Amino acid sequence: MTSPHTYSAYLGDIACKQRIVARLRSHADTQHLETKKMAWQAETGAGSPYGLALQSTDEALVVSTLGMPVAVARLQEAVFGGCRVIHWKDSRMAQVVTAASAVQLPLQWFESIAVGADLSTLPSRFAQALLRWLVGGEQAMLTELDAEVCALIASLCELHEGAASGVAVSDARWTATRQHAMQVTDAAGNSASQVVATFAEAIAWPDSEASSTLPSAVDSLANDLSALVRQSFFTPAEQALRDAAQQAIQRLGASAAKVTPDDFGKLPEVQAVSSPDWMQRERQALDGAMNTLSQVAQQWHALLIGCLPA
Amino acid sequence: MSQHITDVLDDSFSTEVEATKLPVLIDFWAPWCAPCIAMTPIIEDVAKLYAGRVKVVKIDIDQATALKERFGVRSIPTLMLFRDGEVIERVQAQSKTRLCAMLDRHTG
Repeated sequence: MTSPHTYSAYLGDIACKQRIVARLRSHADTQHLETKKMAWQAETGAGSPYGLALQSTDEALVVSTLGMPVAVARLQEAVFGGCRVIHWKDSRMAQVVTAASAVQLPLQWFESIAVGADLSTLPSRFAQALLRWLVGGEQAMLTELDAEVCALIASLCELHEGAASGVAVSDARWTATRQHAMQVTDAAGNSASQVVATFAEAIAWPDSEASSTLPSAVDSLANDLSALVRQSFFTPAEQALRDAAQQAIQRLGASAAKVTPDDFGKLPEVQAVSSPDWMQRERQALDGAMNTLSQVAQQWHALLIGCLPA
Repeated sequence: MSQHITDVLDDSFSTEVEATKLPVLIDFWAPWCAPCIAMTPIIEDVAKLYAGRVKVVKIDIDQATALKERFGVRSIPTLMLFRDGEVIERVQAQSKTRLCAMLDRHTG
């Protein structure tokens, strides 16, 4: 939770912006950009967008040095974190890196922030934009959403819109919205509806809580969308086999017995989805999901920039 | 680390958790676990929000290997709610909304 605070981006100092933008520009075309959170390694010069900007892992500097809310830094890094893709080596997942098409995004972000801008309502504005993106009907993995989910999104957008424009929204209203959202999630009729409703319930909080709620919800949404895309690579019958393997792993994991990784591999349900052909398809599905997600995250980054005050 | 969160190791579990009258939320985590790091702001907020009603502790499974074994923690983050020395809820990564709903159920 954050207390009321007046923010002025770059502390109102054009020289501060120029210094930060120059730092990001020097990293934009290198392998120094990471999709981790608030990361900075002085020895290698590698880091996350805000880690590079501050050359530190100290989040307090986001406020004191950049004049921005911590929630905004966490949000930008959560969105940028979705721009990761996998590099394979000898059929093994070698490393996760930033998509080549995304390496300029952090630079664009810091360039787009106006000196002296107050970014305190950016989380609410982005929450609305992302909610509308989710129900906009343009995403193949998010079709056939339940009417109740769409109604929930509309009411939540209204709340965030009010909050962003200075209308007081009572704690009781936020609490009631969260309770309603959880009911909608639990009753969701399909995976896509469940993903959208889960995101909605996680962000039904005022801006004062956004530093903990919105970035983690964006992280979870990215993972959930990735899972939806992976599912689309399999037929319903194959999906049932995958689900059975997952449930068997969870059952064994939750049992009191001591288990090793080999024990999981011996489960018949796991063996049913472990042939070389199947593993090859899983790899293709994972690649497909990560590539789709990276494109999605780049769209979200554009939404985020679009929410910046002039 | 938030002033409302206590780090617990194998040898301090008894006094910090089992002997505590309040419900205790335990966050099993590790510094290398990205989802655990992502949960940290939520855990810190919840610890502040429920201060005096729920005690919040973190257990690094690489440091507290006996506790990891004892509670069969095989994936992290794992969150457990303890009351009167017993686990009454056990969940994986949660949104703040769901975590608060769980705590509200047990704190009235």
